[in-house]
Formats: sequence, structure tokens, C-alpha cells
Amino acid sequence: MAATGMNFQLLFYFACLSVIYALYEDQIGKFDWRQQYIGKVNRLYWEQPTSGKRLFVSTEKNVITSLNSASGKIVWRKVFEEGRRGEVDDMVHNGDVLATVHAGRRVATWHPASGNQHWEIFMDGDDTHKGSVRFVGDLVVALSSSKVYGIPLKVAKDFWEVELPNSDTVNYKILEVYDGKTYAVGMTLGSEVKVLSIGQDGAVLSTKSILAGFLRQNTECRVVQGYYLMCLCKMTDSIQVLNLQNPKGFVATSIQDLGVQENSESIYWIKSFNSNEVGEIIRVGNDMIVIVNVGTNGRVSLMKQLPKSVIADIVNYEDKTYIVSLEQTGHEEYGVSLYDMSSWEQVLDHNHRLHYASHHGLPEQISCFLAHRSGKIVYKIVVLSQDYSLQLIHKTGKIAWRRDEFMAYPTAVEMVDLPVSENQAKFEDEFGSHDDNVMTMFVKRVKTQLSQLQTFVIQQIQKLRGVKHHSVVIEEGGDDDDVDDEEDLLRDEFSLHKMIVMATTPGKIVGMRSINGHIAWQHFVPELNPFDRFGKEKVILHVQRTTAHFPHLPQCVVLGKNKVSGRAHVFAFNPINGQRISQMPVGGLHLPYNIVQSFLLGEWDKDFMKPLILVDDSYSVHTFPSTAQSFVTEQSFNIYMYVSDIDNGMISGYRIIKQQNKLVADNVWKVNIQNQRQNLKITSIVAKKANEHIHSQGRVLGDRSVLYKYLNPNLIAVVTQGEEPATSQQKAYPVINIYLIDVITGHIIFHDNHRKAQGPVHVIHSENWVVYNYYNTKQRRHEMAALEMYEGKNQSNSTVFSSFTAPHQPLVMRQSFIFPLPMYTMTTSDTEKGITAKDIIVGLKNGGIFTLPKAFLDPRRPLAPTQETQEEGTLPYIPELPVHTEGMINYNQTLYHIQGIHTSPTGLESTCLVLSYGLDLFHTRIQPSKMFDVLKEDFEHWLIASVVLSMLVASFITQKLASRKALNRQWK
Amino acid sequence: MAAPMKLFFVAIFTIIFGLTASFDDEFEGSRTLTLEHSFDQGQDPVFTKRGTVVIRSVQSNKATFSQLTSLSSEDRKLLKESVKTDGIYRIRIPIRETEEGTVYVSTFTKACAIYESGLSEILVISVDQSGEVLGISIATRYCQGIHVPSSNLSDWNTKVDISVTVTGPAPDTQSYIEKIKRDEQEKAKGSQADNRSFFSKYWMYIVPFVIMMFIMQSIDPQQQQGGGSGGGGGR
Amino acid sequence: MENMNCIFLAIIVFLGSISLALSEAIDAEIVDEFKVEGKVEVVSTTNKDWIANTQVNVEGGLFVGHLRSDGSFVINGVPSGSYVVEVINPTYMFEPLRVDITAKGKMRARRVNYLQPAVVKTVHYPLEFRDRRKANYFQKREQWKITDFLFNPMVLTMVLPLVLIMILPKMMNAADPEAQKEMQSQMKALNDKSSLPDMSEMLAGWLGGGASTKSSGSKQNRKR
Repeated sequence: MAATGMNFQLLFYFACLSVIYALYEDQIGKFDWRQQYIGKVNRLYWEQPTSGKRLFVSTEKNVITSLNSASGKIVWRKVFEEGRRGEVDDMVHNGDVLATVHAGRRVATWHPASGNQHWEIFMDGDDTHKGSVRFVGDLVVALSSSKVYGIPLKVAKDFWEVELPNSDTVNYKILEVYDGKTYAVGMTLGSEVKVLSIGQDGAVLSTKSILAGFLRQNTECRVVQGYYLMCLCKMTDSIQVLNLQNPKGFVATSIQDLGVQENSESIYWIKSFNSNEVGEIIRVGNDMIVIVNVGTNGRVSLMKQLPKSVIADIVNYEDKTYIVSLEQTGHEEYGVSLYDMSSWEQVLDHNHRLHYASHHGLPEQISCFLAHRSGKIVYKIVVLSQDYSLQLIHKTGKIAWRRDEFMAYPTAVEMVDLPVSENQAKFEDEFGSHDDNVMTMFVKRVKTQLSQLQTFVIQQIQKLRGVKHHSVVIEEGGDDDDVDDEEDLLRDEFSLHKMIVMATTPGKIVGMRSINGHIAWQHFVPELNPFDRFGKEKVILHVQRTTAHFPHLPQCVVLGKNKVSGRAHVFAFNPINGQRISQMPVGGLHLPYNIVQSFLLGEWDKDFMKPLILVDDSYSVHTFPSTAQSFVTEQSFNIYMYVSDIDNGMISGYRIIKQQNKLVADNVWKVNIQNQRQNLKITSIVAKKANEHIHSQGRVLGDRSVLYKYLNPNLIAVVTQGEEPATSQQKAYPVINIYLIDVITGHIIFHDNHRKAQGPVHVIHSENWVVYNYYNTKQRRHEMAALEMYEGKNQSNSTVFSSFTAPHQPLVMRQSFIFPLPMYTMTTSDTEKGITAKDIIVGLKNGGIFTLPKAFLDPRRPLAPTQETQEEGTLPYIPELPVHTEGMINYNQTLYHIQGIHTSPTGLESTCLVLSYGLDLFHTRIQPSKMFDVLKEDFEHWLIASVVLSMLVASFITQKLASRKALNRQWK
Repeated sequence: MAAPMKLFFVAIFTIIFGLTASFDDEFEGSRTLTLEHSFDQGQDPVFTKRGTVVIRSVQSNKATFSQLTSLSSEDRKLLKESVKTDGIYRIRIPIRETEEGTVYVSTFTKACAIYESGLSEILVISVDQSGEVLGISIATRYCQGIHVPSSNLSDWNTKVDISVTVTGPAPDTQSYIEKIKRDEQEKAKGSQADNRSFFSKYWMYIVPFVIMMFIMQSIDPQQQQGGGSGGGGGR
Repeated sequence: MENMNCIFLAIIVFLGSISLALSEAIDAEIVDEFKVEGKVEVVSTTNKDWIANTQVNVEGGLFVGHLRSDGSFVINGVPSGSYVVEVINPTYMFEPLRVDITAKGKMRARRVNYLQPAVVKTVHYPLEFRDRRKANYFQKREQWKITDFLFNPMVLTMVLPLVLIMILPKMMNAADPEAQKEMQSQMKALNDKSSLPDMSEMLAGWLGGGASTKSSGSKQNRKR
């Protein structure tokens, strides 16, 4: 039965395929690009033993990967689950094997060359505990919260496990191997340290408890030089050291004894990717690096001060120990120094300088690989910077490659049109001013046309001379090979080339060319932290002025919270060249209040600037720029906004009034969407896109009458999730509720609920419809519901919509469908005028981006098609939505951990730009109704031309023949 | 032409009511709500009691409003004043008591809308399936700037609508499977009927063809005898 | 007989309750986390490159499994429940399977049927995935081919009668000299009547513009 059902469906899908937009094979890479990222690196190993051709890396984004150290490209990449389960707690490498531990419980080993798994063992323990893994002999030893495991490298058989004593109270944080023995170190805050030493056969050699009253939550401990446990005790300004081989007691060294004039608050460990047996690098204050080591008596002593150094690392190479250090030598310039640790002599023969752009922030961690080449020591240094970028320095300080890993942390995305050329802008300028008379306008026109001619001629001459036109490009990075990036940032004919502006978690703001994904400019605002919005990191990014208002420059603003104070932090810039606006500090503007709501006003002021309105926690209204206050005051009679209280399930509406020369928000409505029994939480609020164009006011039905759409621009869709508690009759079950609320008056247009359904709920809200996706726990499947709102057969007001007079209960049609695959997110396509049919763009968890025509999600799909429904063009109702590979716009380019999809219209009505962001970036164009406004690219120009030509030739020949025949006939 | 459309609407409404009807067991008790109103324009408006709303039945949309008193002359003055300044008129309903105070749901409309309608309005109270009040809104007419005599501004003419949370749509797999089964049965029936022999199926095509052939053959010899006279036969 | 049945049933129920009680006792001790095992095979190629970019998603990536070099996988730490297991590979397509894990850790694998989730069609456990087909992401470009053009029904309806009219008589002519003569006379008669328009003239008339139509027009006039 089901099989035949499938067949039936398949038939139907093939019938519909012609409707669906799909790529052609020769279009691969033509207008799409993908960038693969790995996230911020937290562990890094050079390929063992000596080649160093590859890097093995684990990252904060739950990725382990192998990078080619010559190019920085990914050799293989394993992406684990999002969240705690996929976290890579620890990773080690020993030449043959990579060993990892995930979420404190799962130990796995991997083949370094191919990335294939050898084996995985599931340990007993608690998954909140941070696991640890080491090699000893041909064993992998791993630490969970309650046990130590010793597992043979090759096969996960015959392994031993050691139960850790008192593991419910003692936190076993550290696992270290030295001289064939494994040490597990457990800590009890405020009392003691437990040290277990375990032999290779799994026998516990000793268990010792050592008093350690200084241990606090913030006490940092690590193992140095192989077998010393070193703790930084901030309370007593001392360093406490314990010899793990022979644990008798902690030996304290006060920081003053080190000869450093600082207290422990300003002392940090510099994280190192590798361990060493010589010493430890410590940063003192902001501008000094010292190297310390532990003597046999357990006392810590100072080995060397590196006063100019920004960052340093210790490297072992050919039985010698070296210190590599980056030192500031000028603005955006660092010098590389390599010291032989036995003699403290510089090893490098001459100055090695490198350009280090200030927009990377400070270097946070480095790792160095040394090798001999023609008798000299050469190095490769990997630098991890504050902005999460990873770069490799080699030779005489050249940057071989850079991975912009901040791109894996997008918090806001916007696409901005590029500006037209200056000449074109001047030309258009004449339409802007109305007070000119005909004569001046004419003169202006002639002038601009002359100047256009002039530049054209100059360009032609330059072309003839072979001079390449160079625009002013801010040189960054030094050896970027992006030659094509030197072309001007000017709008193309159909505005298909845009500037992608992206804000990221570390505070990096970048501008990217949509055409190739290359970075055009970048800014580092380290103090800008994202807000937490429904559990996702988000900053607010608005385009305050577009490029359409020459000579006013375009302007974007990013709003986040300050890293230190948590108050508002804004940064405003020109989205095209990335230059910050005048009066904007380099690190952004720190505002003295907390934000509860912010939004961009729909109207622009006399300078074509849309002011950003900020509401603080005392409900005072501020504007950015602050000069817009008076304009907002003028407009305040029609400014309304809402604030949601997520945990209490209240949404409040406000208007803006003037009180004592100040703008304040006045509460005008309140909606209670809480049900205390179900403990509902608001999990998402989705408004329509502010600049959405809707072409058609209604829908023509089969009988030629029109069903008018309910187009309320002030409508938001609110989702709440909760749980119906268990009763005597049935178990507890999850519920979700959807509310459509008019945010001017607080009127709830429509509300529905789903029992036995749970999130995450993904909502698309556009035109007169809402589509949402949820998981049906009873039927164990993902479902997609579509709501469409109609005013009915009559339209209340065709010119302008007002929330005060709109029909109170529009007709809401609804239907639900099965969506067979789990998804990360979904959105809808967006075109210039809204004529093109809409596509639903779904970021699937299998790594595909799938487009589904909105027609499939039409609540009016009839179960049994009739003449009338066919006339209307609705598809017959089939519960399961068709998902097929032809609809995957990213074809075989799998994308991981998609966070969001951004769509943006282009100058072509048929075409919409799509950017998917997450761990990977992917950009392409889609044409939901195919390309109807320009000739298809596969249009056969040659065929048409040759047919026309041959017809022409044929007609001439036949004419000749005909006349000859006629002549012959005359002679007869 | 409009008839099918009407039918369609009817169908939609029956669906809605059908669904709400199935939750009769959820909440059907009557509930009395206090309605408060305010003509204040500032940030901290003072509300006074206007009357009570009695919800008789959530499911069958039965609710009434009874006013406490008719609009006092002071209130009338306040209303007229706020009409002049394009002010607003607010109402609210207390829904629950918490430690931090009473929780209200509230809404507002343009004061002129209340004024010009002569205090007639429709209140829409949104209620979830367990009877919890979600929100309230006012529907009135829109402002045209007309003058209303004071005599029309004393008694409230209020209609109350209850809007209940409906059950969200679910995929209609049942009827689809039934439909497929039906189609299949029909197909099966069709294929059974088609089990007839080739001749019994296509006799109506074969017989005329054969007859034609016979006629042609009977003509042909004549043609040959008659020589070239029947040239048209070639075409 | 009926009595017998009754007793039998009672015994079964009794046994069932015992095993239930036993399992509950065990449950309290062991952690209710299980592992999902299986193997992925691609039969259409001997190249092993596909293993590197294949992963196994349980419930859309809630749990992820990576393959060993023989294509097998183990996903540890999966609590009891019902999960859809998919194999993700950009080139090959696999059919997803549903795995049910009871609270006791009993495993069952079955086909995914979203339309009727209650229908159970069990398959082998540990899971076995075999590639169904290669994924096709692309539309075929319509190419201009002479055969497409010729077999177009419109063209066929135009060309076939043409062929019948023009070529058939000629072929017949070639076969028989007498008939040829006959035909010729026929054709002559036809031509004289000019009931059948001359092809070349017609083409010229359509494409060659005014001049030729004029000429043909004048010809007709003359004939009248």
C-alpha cells in the first residue's frame, strides 16, 4: 500500500518538476561560492614526527580537522554535534593516531591522513565534566569524571579502567603522563588535591591526598615541565607548586620573589598548544612576558624577561630548546625572534619583520615549527589572534596564508547595494532638486554629460596605453592574491553584485563582495558583544542610509552590548568602504544605558537618514545619531513599538510621547500569552521584512472572483513553547502556540496551538502568510503548517492600511504538511517588486539548502482537484512535501551547522541573492520563477542567427529560381 | 458563480467551529471580568472602573457587558479634550494577582474613534482553551471629524466577542490514504474490466477497417480494367 | 478449549509481568544510554574516498556518527527513544531508517514511513545502508538536436504528408515506366490547373518580399 502510494507521489513530483527551479550542471561555480571554516582553534599539532606539512586542529566549533600547512586549506574535516555533546574536550597527536575526547564521555581515535575513525569508547561518567586524553606507550589513557581508562591504540579491546576514589566530591580535572606513569589529579575546593599515579598495566601505584587550602573556583592550575602541578593563587599572590612524582606538599613562591612588580591579578598564563619540559610563559601586566621554571626544590624562578614581546612560545628541536617571540617593532609591524634557550642568543641571522594588521587585535597564541634547510634554521609560526583568525608566518616574516575564522561566528548579516559611479550619481542628482529652473537644469545636464564623455575618453586612452586603472585600495595583509578585487566597487547593470556586511561574535565587522566572497574591508571592535536573543547570539545591524542618496554617503550601524559593562555599544560605518563615520571612535561608541528595544524608524529625515531608536530600561527614548532627536519628536505621533518579556510571556506595546523635553515610551497595550499551568516561554518573534514589496493585493480564484489578502504590515508572529503537565490520565506532553499580533493595538488577530508538538519552531512571515515548522512528538515527524490571511471578497481600504480600522477577524486558512527532513532554519525568497513567485528556502540538517515553491505550502490545496481548483492553479493536496535533490541549490557542497539564510532582492525581478551562514558560508542566486526578464544564458544565439541567415539566403535563391522558371515558362 | 465560493466559506467556518466544538471539555465555565478605562494621556494613567464583562460561554461566543454607570460629565469633558489633542482612550482588564501586583491586559484606541461612534464599540477578548484571558482589543469606526451631540455620549453600547485559541492544522493523512485506496480500487476495477480480449476491446476500430479493406479490394480490379481513368485513387 | 486458552493467556500475562519487574530492577542500576551500530556500503564504486565525506546523522544531527575505514559506525550514548538514522553523503543517496530503542535497550530497525508512522516494516539490525542511486542535483539542459526537431509532432504532421505527396509518386515512377508516363500526364494536368502551388514559388512569396508576390500575382492574372 505504502509503496504504491510512494509511486503515486513520485509520479506527481515528476509532473511538478517542471515548476521547480533547478540548476544546470554547467552553472557550477558560476554564481555560487562556498567558504568552509573550522572555528576558533583551541588545539593545534604539527604533523609528526618531522615533516610539518599538515596541521591537526580542534576548534571551539566542535570540529577536528587537518590543514595543509603550505596553503591553509582543509585536508579533511570532521564536524561533531552542536552543543555540549560534540565539544572536543581534548585532543592529542602522536604521529600515527589522533585521539580525542568529546563531552567528557566519548574517547575516539582517528587516522591522521584520512580522518577515518579507528574506534570509539563510551566512558562512564558525567558529561558536564571536561575530559582529558593522553598517550602512554601504545595506550591511550583517558579521564572521565569517575574513571581513568587505558585503551590500546589499534583496537578498542582488552582495555583497563581505574575507578577514581571519591569522584562524586573530588573534581578530577587533570590527566598527565610522565615517564610511563599516568597521573590523575583531583581537586576539592578549599581543602585538598588528590594525586593518583597509575602504571601502564592499569595498576594504581599510589594515591595521595595533599592539603591545598588555597584552592578556589578561580584558581588556575596546570602541569608544567611534565610533572609539576602549578597553581596561580590570586588570594595570596603566590604560585603554588606540587611535584606529582613525589607529592609531599605544595611549595609556595610569592610573586614578589620572582622580581616582578605586579600582583597576581595582572598575571596570566599564555596558553600554549604544546607542552614542554623547560619552563612556562607568563604574561605580566599588559606589556611584559616572562619565562619561569620550577627548580628541583619546587621553587619557581625567573628564567628570562622578554620586555618587548607580545607573545612567545617554547619549542623543542633537535635536543635544543628555543624560544620564539613576536615583538612589536612599529605600527602594524612585528619582528620575529628566535632564542636558543641555553645561550639566550638570537638564532635568526637578520631581521624578520611581518606586517600584522591591527584589525586582528592582539595575538593570543602562537605555535612554532622548526626545520633545517641548507644549514639554517627555518620556521613556520601559526598565530591565533584575538579576532579568531589564524595565520601562518614563514620565511622572513611572510604571511603564507590566513584563515578568517571569525566568519564562522556571524551574528548579523545585511546586503547593501553598491553605489553607482560618481558621474551616474550626478546625472541622477538633477531629479533630486526641485527648486532649479529649466535653464539651470539644462546646463547641469549638458555639464554632466560632458564630464561623462570626458571620463569615457580618458578611460579609452588609458586602455589603449595599457595602463590599468587603479583605485585606491587599502593595502592589507601584504600579499593578498586577490587581484580581481582591485576593480571598482560600483553597481553593475542589474545590481547583482552587492556588498555583504557581516558582524561576528569576536567583534569583527566585515564587508564582503557578494560576487566572490572576498573581504573588501574589515574592522575589529572587540568591545562589541552580541545580545542573547532566544538563545542565539545576535547583534543588531541596520542600514540607516542606502547608497541611493548621493552625495550623502551610505551608513550602517551595528548595535550590541559592551563586553565589560553590558550596556549598549554602537558602531557606525560606511558599508561600501568600511570607513567609520566621523566622530565615531575606533572601538565604537559606548552608550551609558541598557537597551530593552531598538528599531529603525521607517521614515528618513532631511538627510535621507533613518534614525535608530533605542529604548533604555527606564523607558526613555534615545536616538542614534543623537541629532535625530528633533526629527523623531516630530514623527512621534505615529511611532509605536513593542517589548516582550520572554519568561513571563507578556508583550507590551508602547507609543512615544514627549515629557519634560524628553522622549519617553508610554505603555498603551499589554498582551498576556502566558498560561501558568503550561509554563510558556516565548521562543521566537518574527516580523515581516521592513522593505518587502507585495505586487498583488489579492488572489484570483477559479470562478474569476478575487480573494483579497490581509496585508497588515504591523503584524508579528509570536511562538511560545511549554509543557502540559502530567495528569492521572496521561503523561506530560509539549505544546506550542502561535499568535499573530497587531503591534499597534495589541489585537490578537489569530492564535492556534499544537499539542504534542515541540520546537524548535522555525517561522517565516511574509505577505499575508505565515509558515512554521515544528516536530510532532506523537507521530514523530517534522511538520510544516501554513496560515494564510484574507480579508475576504471585499477590500476594506485599498490605498493604505491602518491597524485602527482594519477588519478585526480576517479569514485565516490553514493547512499542515509533513516535511520529511529535519532543518536548521528557513526563510523565503525576496525580489525587487514581489511579482516573482515565492520560494521557501530551507537549510537542511543534512547540509543541503533546499528550495520549495510556496505553492506547495498553500492551504487551499484541495484533496480532490476539481475544474475550479485547476483553473486557479492549486496543486492537489498531498500530505508529504516533496524533497528531491534537484531542489538543492548548493548541490554537492554540503554545509554544516547552518545558522541562518539571508535573502536579498537584486535589480532583476526574477533573481534573488541567497547567503547561507553558519560554520560555512554559501552564496548563490535563485530564480524562483525561472529567468523571465532576461534571455536565458543558454539562449542559442548562433542557432537563431544561422536560421535567420539561411532563411534569407534561401529566399534569395528561391526567388532567383522562381524568376528563371517563370522565364522558361514564357518561352514555352 | 459565487455559489461555490460561498460553499467554500461555509466549509471553512464549519472546520473552525468543528474544531472548537471538539474542545468542549476544556473550559466552559462562566467568568466575570472587570473592565477599567482611562482618558489620561501621560505615562502613568489612572484607571477607573467602567463595568463588567460576563463570559457565559467561551465556545459559543456568548459574553455580555454591563456598565457600572453611564459616562459622567467630567469623563465626557475629558473625552472631548482628548479628541481635540488627538489623544487616546485606554481600557484594561485585570487577569491575575502576583507578588509584584496585578497583571493586566490592556489596549487603546484613538479617542476620536470612541467619540464619533457615540460610545458604541466591539470588544474582542482573546481567550485560550483553558479560559485564560490573553488580550483585549477595541473595534470602532474610524475618525472623520464629525461632531457628536452630548446626549449620544452617556451610555455604552458595547458588544463583546470572544476569540478562542483554535487547534493548529495537522496533516490530513487519513483522508489522503483513503483517497489513494479508493483510487487503487478504481484502478483495480478498471484493470479487471480491461481483461477482455483484444477483439472485444477494439472491435469498433477493427471492423470498419476490415470493411474498408474489402471495399478497396473490390474496387481495385475495376480500376485495373478501367485503365488510367481513376487517377484520383492514387491520392 | 476456551478455558485452555484463557489459562494460557493468563500464564503469558504472568510471565510478562515477571520479566517487566526484572527489567525494572536492572534499569535502576544500568545507565539507560545505548549505542546504535551499523555499516554503510557503496557498491557502485570500489574507490574508498566516499568514506571521508560521509557521516551518519541520528535525528538530524542530534547524534552524529563518523565512519571507520571499513564503513562501519558506532554512535554511543543514545538514550531510549525512536530515531531516524540517515547517511549523509553528497554523491550517493541512502534510504533513511528508523531505530526504536526501548527503555530496556532492545533495538529494532524499520523503514521510515511518515505517512503512517504506526506501520512497522522491520529491517535488519545492526543497520545496513547501501547506496540507492547517485544524487542528481542538476536539470538537463535542453539541447537542440535534429532528431528532437524531426520527431516533434508538429513537424511530423507537416513533413509526412509532404513526403507522401512529393516523394511517393516519384518512387512509383521509378518502378514502372508505364506508370511514370501516366503520372507525368497527371502532373501536367495538375500543373496546368495550378491547383497545387509550386513549393519554391510559395517560399519565395513568403520570404522574398513584395517583388516575387507581384510576379506570381501577375502570372496568375495572365493565366486567367
